[in-house]
Amino acid sequence: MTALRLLRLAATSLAFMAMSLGAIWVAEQLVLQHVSWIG
Amino acid sequence: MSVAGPGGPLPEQPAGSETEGADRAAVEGRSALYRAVWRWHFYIGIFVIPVLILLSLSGLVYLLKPQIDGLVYGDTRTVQPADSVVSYQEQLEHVQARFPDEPVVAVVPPVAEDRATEFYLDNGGTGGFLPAGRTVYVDPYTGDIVGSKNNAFDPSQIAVQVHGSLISAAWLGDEKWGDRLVELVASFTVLLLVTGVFLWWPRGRAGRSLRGTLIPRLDVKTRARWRDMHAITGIVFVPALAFFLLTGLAWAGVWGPSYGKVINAIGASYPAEIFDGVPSQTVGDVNGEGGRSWAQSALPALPSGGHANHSQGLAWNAADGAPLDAIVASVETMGFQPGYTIFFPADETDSYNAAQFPDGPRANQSAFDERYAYIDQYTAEPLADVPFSQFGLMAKATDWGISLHEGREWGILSQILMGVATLSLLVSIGTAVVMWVKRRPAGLGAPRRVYSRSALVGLLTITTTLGMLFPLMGMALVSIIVFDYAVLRRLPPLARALGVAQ
Repeated sequence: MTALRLLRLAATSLAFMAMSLGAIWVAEQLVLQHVSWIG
Repeated sequence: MSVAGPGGPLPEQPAGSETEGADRAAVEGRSALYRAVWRWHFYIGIFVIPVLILLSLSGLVYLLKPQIDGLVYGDTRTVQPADSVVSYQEQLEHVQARFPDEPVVAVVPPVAEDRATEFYLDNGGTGGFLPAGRTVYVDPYTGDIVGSKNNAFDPSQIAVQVHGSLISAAWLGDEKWGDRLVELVASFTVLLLVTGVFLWWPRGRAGRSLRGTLIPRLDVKTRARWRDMHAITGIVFVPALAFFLLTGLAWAGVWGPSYGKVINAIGASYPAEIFDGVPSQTVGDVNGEGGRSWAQSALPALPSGGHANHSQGLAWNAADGAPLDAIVASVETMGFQPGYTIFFPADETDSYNAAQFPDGPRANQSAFDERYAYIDQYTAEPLADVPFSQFGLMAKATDWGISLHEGREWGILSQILMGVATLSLLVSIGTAVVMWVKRRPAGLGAPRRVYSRSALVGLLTITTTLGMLFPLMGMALVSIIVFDYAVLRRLPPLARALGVAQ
């Protein structure tokens, strides 16, 4: 059971990461490419 | 649910407790803030832990680069010293003949009498999954090529690619995405440290005891033992971890250039030559009136004993470009000691660039010895010499910080220090997971959402301040709020899966 719970924790972690990559992509298109003082 | 803090387990607080009496509200306000901070610490931890593990492990490999290089390439790069040496130009020609399609981009003259000359080639990134070049080892006493390696398979090259971009070029088509993710993780890790310090901060009567505050309670069999190991390991190494994050962010794609602009604006950056290079003369200059078509540069004997005859009797048609031996002689005449790299000119107006830096061919040189020189590619005359002492204050601090981050600045001592700090991070991560397992939460086990105005104000203060300092994280925080309102409230199953449903 502990292994399953850890698996779920890891899956949640990866989901956060995937979502953040999506958010980074959106930020790149909407903000970073257009606002010169950021990056 | 209770939180085993240094001040003893904190009781479960009912939501909306700030509506009660003034004294009680003050106590519960603090407790609500504590639990709100804990909730943020928990979610940030879940987000950053996988990447932090990758950064720690790849960092450890890169930290041990001098030792790993010795183990992996020790035999290849070691040569038998002899009385006479082959000219650098001849060595270069041997390399070019063996790898005609891979231009030579740099050379490292032998760093010791029993070491090979190293040539770096641009192989277009072929042969591996990393955009790295090739290193060719040449015996300076025979001119024979004694080995070569495709850097795409070099352990420290792989480690540095993982560390900088999670090799996202291979799986997302561009290293930019991995670089952004690493920067986001590093920024959130700063918030993780700040919230961690807040949670650790001694409170109440028990907070006056060193046990559970700075000395882990290893004799207790409760979750407090793991909490102490987690918190105290983190606290002891907070300065080192913050140092890792801030110096590491100087490489990051968004924060790094912004930082560069700031230190430029205040005049504390690098000398212009470091950014712009220094142009050589042109062929027209050396052929034209007043120019020297033949260079007999009266190069003095090289200071590096056994290789002295490299420069003797050198003469060349300047329009054809100076032979490599003249460039090396010029660099060593300027006082460079073996352990530097000479980068070749990129085009007919560029110059040779001799560079001595902490992470260079001779392991563990100090940032204080950093130095860059520019040599005319036709006449072999020095064009500029930029030692560390000419760097701006922040540039000095940055390079010194990077040198320490990589474990190079104080040799083995800095390797040990950075290694222990990295291991402490892994211990903190491991104990965090153990604590989570021991809590036996149903589902994700996120700390409950806290409805408290004081907690909201406290958290907003912390996150807004850090969000402004780290723009990528600031944007992420805004995204989280938008995502919460626009998506999670409409998709209860997803909210439950992420542990944010109430």
